[in-house]
Amino acid sequence: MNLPSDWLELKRELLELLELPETERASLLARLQVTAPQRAVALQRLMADAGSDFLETPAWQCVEPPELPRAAPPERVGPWRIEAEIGRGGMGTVYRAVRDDGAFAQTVAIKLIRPELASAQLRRRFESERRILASLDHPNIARLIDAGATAEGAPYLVLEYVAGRPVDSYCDANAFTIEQRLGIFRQICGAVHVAHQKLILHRDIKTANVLIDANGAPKLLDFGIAKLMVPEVEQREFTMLGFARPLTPQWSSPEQLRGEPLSTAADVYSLGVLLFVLLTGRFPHTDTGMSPEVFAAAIESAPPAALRVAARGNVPPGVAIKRLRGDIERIARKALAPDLRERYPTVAVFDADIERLLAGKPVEAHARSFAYRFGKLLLRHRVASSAIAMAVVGLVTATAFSVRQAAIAEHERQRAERRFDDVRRIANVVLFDLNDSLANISGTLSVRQVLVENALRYLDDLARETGREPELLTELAAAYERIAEVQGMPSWPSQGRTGDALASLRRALEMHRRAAAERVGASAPKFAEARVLTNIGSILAARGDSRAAFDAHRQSERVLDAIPAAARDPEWRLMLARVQVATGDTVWELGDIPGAAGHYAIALATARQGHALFANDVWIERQIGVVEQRLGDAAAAQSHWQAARTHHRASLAVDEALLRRDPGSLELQRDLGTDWSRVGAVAFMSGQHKDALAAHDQALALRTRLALADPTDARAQDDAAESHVHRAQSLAALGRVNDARDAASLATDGWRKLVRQDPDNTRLSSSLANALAALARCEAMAGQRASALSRIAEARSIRVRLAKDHPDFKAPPQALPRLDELDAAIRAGREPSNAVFVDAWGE
Amino acid sequence: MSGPHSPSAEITQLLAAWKAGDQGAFENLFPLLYPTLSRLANRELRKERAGHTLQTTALVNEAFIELAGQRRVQFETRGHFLAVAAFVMRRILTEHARNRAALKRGGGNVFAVPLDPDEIESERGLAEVTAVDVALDALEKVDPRAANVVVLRFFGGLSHEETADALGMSVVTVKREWAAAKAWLKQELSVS
Repeated sequence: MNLPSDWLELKRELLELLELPETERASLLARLQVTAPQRAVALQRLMADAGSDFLETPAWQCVEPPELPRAAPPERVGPWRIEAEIGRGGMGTVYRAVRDDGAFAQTVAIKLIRPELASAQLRRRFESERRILASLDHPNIARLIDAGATAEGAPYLVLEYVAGRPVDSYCDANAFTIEQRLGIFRQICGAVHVAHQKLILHRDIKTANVLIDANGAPKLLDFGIAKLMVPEVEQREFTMLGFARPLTPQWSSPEQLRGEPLSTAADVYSLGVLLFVLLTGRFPHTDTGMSPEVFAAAIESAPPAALRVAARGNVPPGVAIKRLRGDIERIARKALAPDLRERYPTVAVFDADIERLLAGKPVEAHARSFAYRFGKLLLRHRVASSAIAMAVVGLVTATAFSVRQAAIAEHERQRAERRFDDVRRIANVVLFDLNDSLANISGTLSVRQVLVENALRYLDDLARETGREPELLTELAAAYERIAEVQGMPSWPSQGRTGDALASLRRALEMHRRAAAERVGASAPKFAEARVLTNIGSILAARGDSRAAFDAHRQSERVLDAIPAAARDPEWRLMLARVQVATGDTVWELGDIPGAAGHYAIALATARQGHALFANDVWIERQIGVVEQRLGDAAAAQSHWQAARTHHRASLAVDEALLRRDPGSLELQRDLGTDWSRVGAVAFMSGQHKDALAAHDQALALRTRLALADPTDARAQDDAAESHVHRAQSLAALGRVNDARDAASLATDGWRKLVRQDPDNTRLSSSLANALAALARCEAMAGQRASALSRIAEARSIRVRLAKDHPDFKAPPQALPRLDELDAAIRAGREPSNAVFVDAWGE
Repeated sequence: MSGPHSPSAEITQLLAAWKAGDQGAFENLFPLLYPTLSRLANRELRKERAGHTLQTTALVNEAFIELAGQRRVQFETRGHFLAVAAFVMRRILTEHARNRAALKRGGGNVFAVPLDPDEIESERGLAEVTAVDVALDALEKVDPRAANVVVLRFFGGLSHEETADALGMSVVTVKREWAAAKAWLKQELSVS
């Protein structure tokens, strides 16, 4: 039918009709039937359509991809007869099934992968879930009974079937008190903790996955989206398959909502939600259909949910609302902290706090220093390695305890041996893989120390039990070397406990020597001895004892010299060249720069010789670049600008050649940027400002590219800012005042951003202060005195804050006087002196 | 980058102009919102559905947060932002539906008939969206007020209250316009 052309008139009538009560509407329509039958029919249809479902489903849902089709449930899977579908997840369907081969009847839950999705990759995932479950034998975790594949090749898991009700409704039905609820909750924590010790996250903790069985014991179900915390590759697979997104946003931590890599703290958060639900019957945050990212942002900006407020008008039976305050509130809040720095880092800590609460002891939720540091690491570097770290602390402790017990009992000898190997392996993982992966992460030192010291103690125990096995001595020595790195190796992020580090290295030295005595003629222990000696030298140098450092390096060189020619491989050359450079460094420290240059020249000869013998060894070639750089620095320190230029150019040529063979190497690109920066600095110092500018332009181009390639790479941003400030200096010297000011302004912006990201980094703050001073100088030259003075004030306040908050930070002694001098010059209308604000050789 | 010429600052000015009755400002707003919303929408539409359905408003909120992250868009203009976003969503969803339908027909195989009920359901959804888009053009000519309400409610996924806020109408008026528009469109579609 066609709508009459006078739509607006018809619309008016339609709306009038719609507003009338039913009876009046009917009588009006009846009258219309007589006077204008066509119009009456039209209006009747319109009224029906106006109230229909039409258009009530938003367009978005109409175009959304359809859900995957449901497959008809199979009748049998292996020896199991399917009874009913009981659940459905991303990967497949869960059925209740029985085994009825006459002898006994057992009810199980069978998880069957969707046959159409049974790709090789998914089968691997399923296989890994099978392994996860097989390794989890805990009374509060649903047990794995069997696994296999159907005739069609679809893999399946057979799990313990738990006939029970969800934990919250069970507690409510029995009117459990707060203590009883906490008791059940602690059992759940125990199960999750055990999983974490096996490096497994659950990732989907919710009431529906915690059932209370016939004996009143909680059972944790569905490790369907659980995963091993280790391989990054697998995480990506999860994402591709859509597993990374939580199925249940209200139970998920903000980091999980954002699809980021997870740590044990994600399960802590979900357990926090579970605790909240058990105590109040409500969620701490309600999801109203927003996107996960928006929900995460909402959680982060919302004030912490209060237990009492949530429970009001909804108190679960048995819960005394007036007691939902104080420590219990603080514990819930700490578990639910959106900020990882404030959340319990592990389930064990969370659980221990509840235990203390139940025992009436003061709870951890008050203190925050350890958690703060621990969480901070995770926040800054959401990487799998940190997740491993969290779990391994527990793992090492637990396993090592059992090794001692097992070792005592003779009749369990075999088991003890297996455990022995376990501990050794774990200790090595901790010492090598984990420590290395944590080494570059700021703020991880206390974690590293805990890990390394634990591992060391266990190895120590083992060494006592076994005696003089050279292999173990070597392992133990290596452990002491690692711990020295954490304690205070210079050029490593370390705790500055150089005295302890020295002691550890001396123990390592002694053990390497013992191992060498056991294995006469072997060169590996000799190598190790030389390495430890030169490391001892570096520490002594850092402690200011350059004379002793020099001796240690020379001793190391002698050990290397004694290694027979047959064993002089590329590594030997490289180590020798490094020791020679280190010797030169101590000589420099003793004030003899020409002498240092002599040692560097020897090192250069060693490296070149090595390069001639092993032309393919990239490390030796790089060492040539390193030595050239040292020689250039030595020349620059003696104002031999021409020689400095030659050596820095040589270093640059080496890095360029390496980069040509490996154009993708970010590390080499960075080295090349450093080379250009030094070439520029030398040119600037020798008054060749144009050359300086050209070199810094090169450096900036490289560094900007690196910064753009990875916007999260703070080091690249830092380097780029440094190039900007160098350019500003060169431009100012060339009289290009406006360009200089722009460059200085870019440097300031860069460091300001970095300082915001990492406010505790003293060097970045100090760089920002320098850039501000450079900007002030440029602005003063451009006649912008007021702005210049405000920059100086800001730089000054940064310096003052640094001195106050970080008393051990060694600022360049002339930093503040220079600012004062600049301030005075600007106020007096004098031309500020052409001071260098950023030292090309670092502070 | 959020200087005076950044997109978000421009959006603020344009929203202010639009509020002041400048229709040209709307034409200019559209291309500013389109890229962001289109990217977010396509991200969601590419995903396989895993039980939970994303709301349009959630998407628009995300776009709003992204575009107005620096708080350069004044808060009282949020309703207007939602309105413009609904018009943008109309374009995105219609394009998506047309592309998907074309893809389903695929390499000229006109005889490919879906057999699965879910599949048929999904095709119907796609067809409905394109048909409503065409019919809406016609409604705009006879009753632009009602047509605007459809854009916000159906394509923008906004509630009655949000629509009222964005268009500066009362909730009662929105409900009336919505009812009338539904009736008109249903008739229009059953004719053609």
